[in-house]
Amino acid sequence: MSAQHVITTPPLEPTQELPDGSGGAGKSASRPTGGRPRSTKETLRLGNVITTLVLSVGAIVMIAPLAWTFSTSLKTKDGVFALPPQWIPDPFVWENYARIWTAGPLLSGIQNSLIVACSVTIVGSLTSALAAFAFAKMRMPFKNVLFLGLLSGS
Amino acid sequence: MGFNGDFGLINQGLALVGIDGPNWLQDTNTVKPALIIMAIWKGLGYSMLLYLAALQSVPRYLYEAAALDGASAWQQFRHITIPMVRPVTFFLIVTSIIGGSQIFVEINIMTPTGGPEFQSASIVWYIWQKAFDNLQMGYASAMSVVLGLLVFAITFIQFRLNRRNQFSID
Repeated sequence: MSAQHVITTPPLEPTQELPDGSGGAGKSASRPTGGRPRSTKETLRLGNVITTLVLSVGAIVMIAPLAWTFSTSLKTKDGVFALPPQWIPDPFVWENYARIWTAGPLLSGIQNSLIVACSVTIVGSLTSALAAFAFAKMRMPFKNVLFLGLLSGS
Repeated sequence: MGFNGDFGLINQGLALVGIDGPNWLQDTNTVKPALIIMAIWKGLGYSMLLYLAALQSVPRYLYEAAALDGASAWQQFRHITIPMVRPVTFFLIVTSIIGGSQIFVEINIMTPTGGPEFQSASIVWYIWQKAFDNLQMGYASAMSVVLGLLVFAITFIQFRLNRRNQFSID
């Protein structure tokens, strides 16, 4: 950003637009020559603060459901439906994590998932690579239509 | 859980800014927005990953050359970044529309009865209900074929539109 300011002084029109767009017009007008790098820095810092704020809100929104799930996993049955909602469970229990191994066939579930996932990855990659090669390199009639049909079926 | 009217996560957030949130999944006006919010939250990571890869593969020298020519940050974004990530944008739009028109699992979990007044019943959900609840296999199969053709037509149009605006760099 600062390099751009220094270099682009000769062609006047584009640089004239630049402070207007970034909202730093007032500052650069009040300090015509000497204050220029400083005002850029201030705009940059303000921009950083705003960017960080917006991104933080987004991050919180994205992480909140996961945190809520984790919080719920430490609650008793009453705590789950408590009003007002508790973020830190009042009867704080790890019991649910102990029940994972006893209440249901979790290990065989993981095993099934792994078998399906590995097979799909290996067989899928191989066949997809072969099909992709055919679509990329070979000539055949109605190639585009075939490709679109394959895509819309996925 | 997140959409429950009394203690759901979304309404907790809305209460922070002083809004009394609706009972999302029981209201005909809010059940679709609820599903949309959920689907966006779920798909954001995937889209972001693809865009991240695309942004990182844009060559630096394009920005340097544009800066030397006096392009503002916005002009660089408009004339370099957007065209360079255009293939990814196209891919995401096509696959998201295909995936969105085949949405089923979220609906079946969040509103197992199709929502209030059937307001969250998608095509695939309706096909599934007809086929496996009412055992009308023929009807369901016919709808599946029509849905497939519909998605095919939409994808075809998208490819056509993309070809017309194809961006190429020498």
